[in-house]
Amino acid sequence: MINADLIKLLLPVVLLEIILMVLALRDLVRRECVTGGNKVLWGIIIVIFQVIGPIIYFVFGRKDTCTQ
Amino acid sequence: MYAIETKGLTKSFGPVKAVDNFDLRVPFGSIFGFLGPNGAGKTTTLKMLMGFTTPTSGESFILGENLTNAGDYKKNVGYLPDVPAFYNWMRADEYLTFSGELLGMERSVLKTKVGELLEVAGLVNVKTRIGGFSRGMKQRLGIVQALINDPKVVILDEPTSALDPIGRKEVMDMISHFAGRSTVLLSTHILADVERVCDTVAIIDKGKLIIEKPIKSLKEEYIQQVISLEILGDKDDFVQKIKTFKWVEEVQIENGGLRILVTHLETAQHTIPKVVAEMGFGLKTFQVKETTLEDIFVRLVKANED
Amino acid sequence: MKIKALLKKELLEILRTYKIYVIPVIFLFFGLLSPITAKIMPDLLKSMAGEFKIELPPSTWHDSYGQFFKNLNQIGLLAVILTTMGTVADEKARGTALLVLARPISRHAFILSKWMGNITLLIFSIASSYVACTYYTYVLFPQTNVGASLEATLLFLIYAVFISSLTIFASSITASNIGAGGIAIAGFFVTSILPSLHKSFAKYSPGALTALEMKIINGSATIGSASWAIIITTILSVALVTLGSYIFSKQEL
Repeated sequence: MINADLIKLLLPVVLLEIILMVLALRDLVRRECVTGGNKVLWGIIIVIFQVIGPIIYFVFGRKDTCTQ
Repeated sequence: MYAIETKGLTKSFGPVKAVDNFDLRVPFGSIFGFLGPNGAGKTTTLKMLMGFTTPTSGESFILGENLTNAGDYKKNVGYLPDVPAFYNWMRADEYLTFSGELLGMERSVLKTKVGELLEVAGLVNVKTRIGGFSRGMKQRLGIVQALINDPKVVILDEPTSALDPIGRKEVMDMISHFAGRSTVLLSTHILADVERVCDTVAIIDKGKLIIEKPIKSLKEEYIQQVISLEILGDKDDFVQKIKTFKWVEEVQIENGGLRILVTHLETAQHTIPKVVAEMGFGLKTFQVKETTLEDIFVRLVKANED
Repeated sequence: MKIKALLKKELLEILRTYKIYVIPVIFLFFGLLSPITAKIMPDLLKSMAGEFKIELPPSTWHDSYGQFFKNLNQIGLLAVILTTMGTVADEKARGTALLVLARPISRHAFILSKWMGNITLLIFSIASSYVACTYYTYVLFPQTNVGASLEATLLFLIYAVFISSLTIFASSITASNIGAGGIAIAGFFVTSILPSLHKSFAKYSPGALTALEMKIINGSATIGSASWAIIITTILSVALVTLGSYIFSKQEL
């Protein structure tokens, strides 16, 4: 009984994770340059590390210009 | 009173004097060219005028107001830094509106003004955010944001450097467009820009103010006759020979011809063809010209370095 | 009026950039996840124990908020530091501050708008995660004491504002966001360990608020006993932002 309820309660949590991941991936795809230059690696970080991955990407991965 | 005035303005970085005892006087309504090679101290001076850098010594006044008193004078000043940076997530119209709000402009006035300036900058139907702008678009936006409240004084730091020739022309056209309404102080290392729009010029080099004069009187004072010459024969031999005359100040070799700066035109006009003939050379062209601003600039900067 | 324009810009920036995703989403995530974790924790531990039979009491609403505050005080505040560290330093490094400060705007107003913008985002994030956590806790543990949890959350908010002020201070005095992050994380670390060093720190320093949150949830302390820590933390927050804005106003741009 408690399990079915818990799954229902977990749904919004999973949804949040997916939203954050999609937003980060969308930003990654549109961006020309990222820190370190490897977009694939950032993609893996975003997908594997739930919640933390996208945040690390938002804070450290994004670059405005392509200098170097 | 002057629109902008500095008295003994000095800025030292350690032992290096980036700006050394500047007495600058920018008259009202003038388009004042602040001319000098890269690293001469132009940006530092302008930053001191904007209160971003504290002078080591000296004073500055804008519209008679001493800059040590707070930043209230800034409501009369429009400023464009050498590399303007905007918020990438804003659109051009939003940035101009934001600039006007920072000046406390009335909403209806601001709205009309934003539309007007977008037109001047050629950014009317641009819906892209500033992050996607080209260098030229950013520079044009940079100039119009400085004009948002029709300030009495406009300070532009290297408005045309880093632009291609077309971008440069656009920006210079914009500047001559609003000239006359405001006093403009414009720093540049590009002489052609100064010749195109400025009426007064200050030449600086290595932190020293070399000269400050209206362009007209500068030309009158430093004007020299130049003979542009093309000969058929050995140029080096000819240069050797011609340099021995007292009235020859300098000989430059450029794209096939010679430029001879002379102090006495008539003597030169008589003697040069004679020398050419004596050496057995032929004369292709012989033209008398006046020195350009560039000649004056090169001479003054060279004199400062010696 | 001018501070209004600056604040409007700060809020618009939060909405238009990644900032709106990160803090609210992390806080909400922990708000939802903490009650669930608390609920399944005894079963989880039992299954991990395997052959050994261990006796565990069923978890309560206290455990739910315990998880909630533990998560927010660690990862939550770290995320606050990471997303706030560039707030002034980035504007200095990129040069965007120059055009704003070329206007008749004082540098104090500039910092104040940063502070107000970041606090607004923080209040919004904490409020929504608290509502989510309390709703889930209430569903899973019907005996929840909402009053105590609200008081504890207020203490957390005051602590979070302090960490945010610390980060804005660090961002004002340095020229790079990494430098600012380093200073802020060092400050965060010191704040967290101070209460274990001396008993007066355990009572009056900002770090004391973290322990008080749990004591209020467990009923072993009242919000009144936290008043000194609250007052001192608030004063320190204001002092940090004031000092940061003073140092910023002396900097060459």
